[in-house]
Amino acid sequence: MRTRALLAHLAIGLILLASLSIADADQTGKTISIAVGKEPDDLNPIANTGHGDFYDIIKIYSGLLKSDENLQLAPDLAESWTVSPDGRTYTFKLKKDVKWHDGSDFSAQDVKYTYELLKDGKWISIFPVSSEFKIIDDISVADQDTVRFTINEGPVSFQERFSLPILPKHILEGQDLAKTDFWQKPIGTGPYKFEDWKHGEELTLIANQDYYGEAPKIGVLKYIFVPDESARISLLRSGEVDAIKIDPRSMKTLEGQTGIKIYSTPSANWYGINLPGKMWPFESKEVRQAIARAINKQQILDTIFNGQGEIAYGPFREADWVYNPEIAFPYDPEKARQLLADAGFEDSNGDGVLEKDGKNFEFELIYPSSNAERKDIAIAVKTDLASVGIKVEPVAKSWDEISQDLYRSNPIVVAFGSPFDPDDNNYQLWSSKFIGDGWWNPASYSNAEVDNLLEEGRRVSDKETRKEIYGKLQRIISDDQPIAFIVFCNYVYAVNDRVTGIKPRNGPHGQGTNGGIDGELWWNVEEWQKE
Amino acid sequence: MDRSLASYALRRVLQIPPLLLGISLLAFFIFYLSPVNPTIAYLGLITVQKMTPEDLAKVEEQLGLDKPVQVRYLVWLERIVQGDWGYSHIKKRPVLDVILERFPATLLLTVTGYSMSALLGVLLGLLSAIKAGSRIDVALNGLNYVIYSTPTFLVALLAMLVFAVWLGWLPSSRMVSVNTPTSDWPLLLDRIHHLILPASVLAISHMAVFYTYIRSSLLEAMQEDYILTARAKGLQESRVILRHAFRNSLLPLITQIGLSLPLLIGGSVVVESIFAWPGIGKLTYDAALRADYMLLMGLVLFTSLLVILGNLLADIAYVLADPRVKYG
Amino acid sequence: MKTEGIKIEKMSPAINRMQIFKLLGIRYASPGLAVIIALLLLALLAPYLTIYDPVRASLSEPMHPPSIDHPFGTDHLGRDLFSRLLYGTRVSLMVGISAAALAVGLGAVIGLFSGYYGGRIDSILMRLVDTVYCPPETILLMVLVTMFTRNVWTIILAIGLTHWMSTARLVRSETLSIRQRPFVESAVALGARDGYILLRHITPNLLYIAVISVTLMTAHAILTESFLSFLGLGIPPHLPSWGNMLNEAQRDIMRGIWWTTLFPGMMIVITVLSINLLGEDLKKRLAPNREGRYEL
Repeated sequence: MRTRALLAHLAIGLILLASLSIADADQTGKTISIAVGKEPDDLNPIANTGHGDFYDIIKIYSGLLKSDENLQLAPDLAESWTVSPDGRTYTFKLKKDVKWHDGSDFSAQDVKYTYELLKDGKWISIFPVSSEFKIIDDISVADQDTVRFTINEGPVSFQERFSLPILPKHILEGQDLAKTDFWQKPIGTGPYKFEDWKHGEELTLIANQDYYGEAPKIGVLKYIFVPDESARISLLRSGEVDAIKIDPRSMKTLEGQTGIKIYSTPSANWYGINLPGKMWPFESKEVRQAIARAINKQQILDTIFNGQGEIAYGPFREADWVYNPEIAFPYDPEKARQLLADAGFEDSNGDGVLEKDGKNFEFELIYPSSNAERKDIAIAVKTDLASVGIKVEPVAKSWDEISQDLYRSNPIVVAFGSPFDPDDNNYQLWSSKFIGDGWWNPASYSNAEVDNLLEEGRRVSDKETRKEIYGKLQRIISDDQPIAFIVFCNYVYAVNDRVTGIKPRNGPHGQGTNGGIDGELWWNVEEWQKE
Repeated sequence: MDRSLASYALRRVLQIPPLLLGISLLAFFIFYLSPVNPTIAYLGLITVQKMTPEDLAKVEEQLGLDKPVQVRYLVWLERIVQGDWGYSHIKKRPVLDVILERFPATLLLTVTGYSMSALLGVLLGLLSAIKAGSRIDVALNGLNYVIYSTPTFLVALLAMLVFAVWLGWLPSSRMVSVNTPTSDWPLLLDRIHHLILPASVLAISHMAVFYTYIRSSLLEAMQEDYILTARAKGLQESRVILRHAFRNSLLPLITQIGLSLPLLIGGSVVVESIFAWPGIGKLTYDAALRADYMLLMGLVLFTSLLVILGNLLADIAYVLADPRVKYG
Repeated sequence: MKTEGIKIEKMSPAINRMQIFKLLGIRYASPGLAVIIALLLLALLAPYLTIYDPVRASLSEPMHPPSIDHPFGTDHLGRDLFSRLLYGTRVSLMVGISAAALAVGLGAVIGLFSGYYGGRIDSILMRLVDTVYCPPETILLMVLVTMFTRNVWTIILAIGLTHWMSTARLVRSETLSIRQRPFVESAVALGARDGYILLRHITPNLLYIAVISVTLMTAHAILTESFLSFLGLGIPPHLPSWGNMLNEAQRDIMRGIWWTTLFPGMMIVITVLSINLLGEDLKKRLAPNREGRYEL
C-alpha cells in the first residue's frame, strides 16, 4: 500500500514538476520577431551621434545608467551613484556578481577601459561621440565595484552620457578595433546574448539567463530585416512577426484588424528644408521667412503623415518643457510673396518664376532616395513654392552619394531631433562652432546671441532659467528659419496584441518610417511578454 | 565517334580563353572606372582609415596604383584568380564570399522557374498546335502575346496581390518563414510554400519563347512528308504529333535553353527584388542602388563565367543528343 | 499541294478583313499600328489634353478614386493620374524609340563592317559581341545605370549599349550573304569603292531588317525602362513614367487603392503589345520566307 501511495505521490510530483518546467519553458521557449527596415552595418553600440545610447542600446550591452519610461536616469549596471556638490565628481557603485556573456566577471576595470577608449579620441572613427568624453579629466577605480569620474566644465546634461554601453576589456584590450570581428559577434552584459546574424536576413539573440536584472521572459529575440513596408505588413498579418514600424499612412490598412494593435507615439523627430546660409539667395532672412510661410505645413502633416504629429515652427514640440508657444506663425503665402517682393524679387518676364539681379529664383532640392516621406515632402514643397514664384527641382540621391559636404552646400530635406536634454542636437545644429563639422549645422548658421544662449543653457542647472534661455533661443531661430521647419511626425507601430509590456515613449531621430533595431518602441523588449 | 566528340569538346573549350580575356577586360574596366579609391575598394573604408601612411603606401604599391593601366590590370587579374575579388561596402564582407553565399538561392529559384516555364510553354504549345486554328489556339496565342508584352514586375505584383494579399494562400516574401521549422518535412514544405509564387511568376513571364517555338516548329513539322505518311497509315492525329513531330522539335529546344542561359541567371533580378528572395539578383539590385562597384564587378564576372560554362555544357549536350550533327 | 490548300483556307478570315480595308481605300492596315499612332498622338498632344500639371502635388485631394474631375483618379500626393499617364507616354515612347534606334544603329554599323570586311575586323568585332553577350543583360544594365548619373539620356544610353548585339549578328550574317551575290561581286570587279558599295548596294537591302529590329527593340526598350524605373534605377522618381508610377503604387495596393496600379500597368501592356503586333506584322510582310524568323 505504502509503495503504491509513494509511487502515486512521486508520479504526481513528477507531473507537477514537468508542468512547471513546461509552463516556464513556454515563456522561455517563445520567440518575439520584430521586422525592421534598416539593418545595422555592425553591432557597435556606440555608433550613434548624439545621445542615442541614452535612449536604448542594442540589447546585448548595458551601461552604468539607462533611461526609464519617462526618459529619466535610472540605474543599470550601477546600483547607485552620487554626485559631488560642485557637480564635477561622479561616483558609481556597481552591482555585484555581474557576468559577461562568456562567463567572465564584469568589474570596474571594464568601465574604466570603455570610457578611456572614448576619452582618448583614438577610435573616433568607430565611436563618433568620442569628443564629448574629452571633458572627463580622470577615471579612477577605487575597488572592484566603485568607479569615480572627475569631469571638467561640462554641459548639464553630461549625466545622460553615463548610459554609454560598457565593452569587455578582457576581449578588446590590445585589439585593433577597426579590424576586429567583435562587432559582428559581440558579447556584453545585457539582457540578451548574441546568437546568430544572417546578413540581409535576420539577427537572433537569446535571453541571458544570468542577467543581473530580471531575466527576460521571452527566450528568443529576432530582428528580421525587411526594407519593404508592404512585406513587413504581410509578415505581421500572417503572424510571422510580432511588431513592425509603419508609415503613418498605412494605419488605415491595419486599423480594425483583429489581433493587431496600433501605437502612434510622439517623437522628437522633425523634418525641415535646409537653407544653406552661404548660398544665394538664402543668406537673406526675408527669403527664408518667406519660404517658411509659403509651405502649407498642415496639409503636409495631414496628407503625408496622416495627421500623426504636429506642425514644427522650431526644434521643440508643444509637449517639451522648454517649448515657447509664441513662435508659431500661420501658413501665409500672401505674406511670403510680400516678403519676397521686399527682398527685391519680381517676376519681370512673366514666366511665373521670380528673378533678382538677373537670376531666376530656382534651386535643386535634394532628398534621400530611400526615404519615401522625404521625397513626398520635396514634391509638396515644390508645389507650394511654385505658387509664390520659386522654382524647385527635386533631386534624388542615395545616402551613399550624400556626403557631408553635399549636406552643407545644398537645400536638402533634413530630419533631426532629440527627446533628451534641450541642449542635445540643438547645440550642434545652431552653434557656429559646428560649421563644417560633419553632419552638424548644415545651414552654416552663425548668430552670436544664439551662440551665447546655447553656451549658457548648457551650464545653468536651474530649470526656470533654462526654460527662459531656450525660450529666447526658439524665438530667434524661429524668426531666422535657418532650416525651414515643417513637421514633427509620430512614429507608428503595429504590434500583435498578444504582446504585453509595451511602454511608448517620446521617440528619437532615428530610421524614419523604416525602423531599426534600437531607438524604437521595442526599447524595453526585455520586459515584454507574449501570451 | 568518341574521338570526334572529344575533339569537338576540346575545340569548344579552346574557344573559351579569348572569351575569358574579354570578360576580364570588361570587369576590370568596371573596376577601373569606378569612382571608389582602389585601396578602399579592396580593404574597406574603416580599415583604411586606421592604417598608418606607411602601411597605406605599402598596400598602394602592392596594388600597383602608381603603375600604368596594363600593370594594374595584371595585378588585378592575379588577385581575382587567387580569389580576392575585393570588399563589398554594403555587405561589409569580401565580394566572392557574398556572391557564393547567395548563389544557391538563385539557382533554386531559376532552375525551378525555368523548368516550369519550359514545361508550361511546351505543353501549351503542343495543345495549340494540335488544335491549330481553333478557339483554344487563338485564345492561347492571344494570351501568350499579352503576357509577352507584360513586364515581369507587373506579373509579379499582380500575382502577389491576388495570392498573397487577397487570398493569403502564399507568402509574399522571403525564402523561408521567420520561425523556420527545424524538422525535415515541415521545413521542406515551408520552402516549397515560399518557392511557388516567385517560381510561377518566372514561369509565366518567360514561357512565351517556348510556346512560340514549339507551336511553330510543330506546325511546320506537320507539313513534312513523314507526317503525311503517318496520317496515311491511319494513326490518330494526336499520336502523330506526339510521336513524330514532337520528338524532332525537342532537339533545337536544347539550343533554345542554351540561348536562354543568360536570361536564367540575370532574369531573376526583378523577381528576387520584389519577393525579397535572398539570391544574387537581389544582390545586384542592392549593389546598384547603393553603388557598390566591387560587388557589381564581381557579379558581372561571376555571372559571365556561369554563362560561358552553361553555353559550353549546352553545346556539348546538343551534340550528344543529336546523332545527325557532324562535329564540325 | 493538298496540305497547302488546307492552310490557305484556314487563313481566309484574314483575307476577308483585308478585302474590307481595301474597299475602304486603306492600303496597309494593322491594329498594332493604329494603336501606336493613337499613342503617339496622345504623347505629342499631352500638354493640350491635360488640365492638371502632372508634377504638381495637390495635397488636398490625395487618393481620390476615378471621378469626373479626375477620370483616372489621383495618387497619394493628389496628382492627377490621367495627366501623369499622358506625360508618361511621352517619356516612355521617347526613351523606347531612342534607345531602340541607338541599339539598332550601333549594331547595324558593327555588323555591317564585320560582315563586309571580314578577316581580322570581323574576328575582333565578333569577339566583342560574344564578350558583351556573356553577362546577363540585366546585370550589365544595372552596372551602367550605376555608373552614370540618372537622367533620361543616360537611361537611353544604357539601354542602347546593352541591346545592340543581336542586331550586330543579324546584320553581319545578312551582309555576308549579300556580299557574295553577283551584283556586288560585279561592282567590286568594276572597281567601285567600299563606301559606294556599302551605301548603294548593301545597306538598302538591310533596311527591312532595320525596320523590323527597331520596332521590336522599341517594345523591349519600353519594358526595360519600365522595370528600371520601377526599381528606382531609371527615370528620376518625381518625373512621370509608367514604371515610376507603379513603384509608388505598390504601397497603395495594400491600402485598397487599385487605380494607381491598373492604369499605368494597362498602358504598358497596351503599348508594348501593339508594338509587338506591328513588329510581327512587319516580319510577315517584309521577311516572309526567312528561316528561323522567330529569332529576329
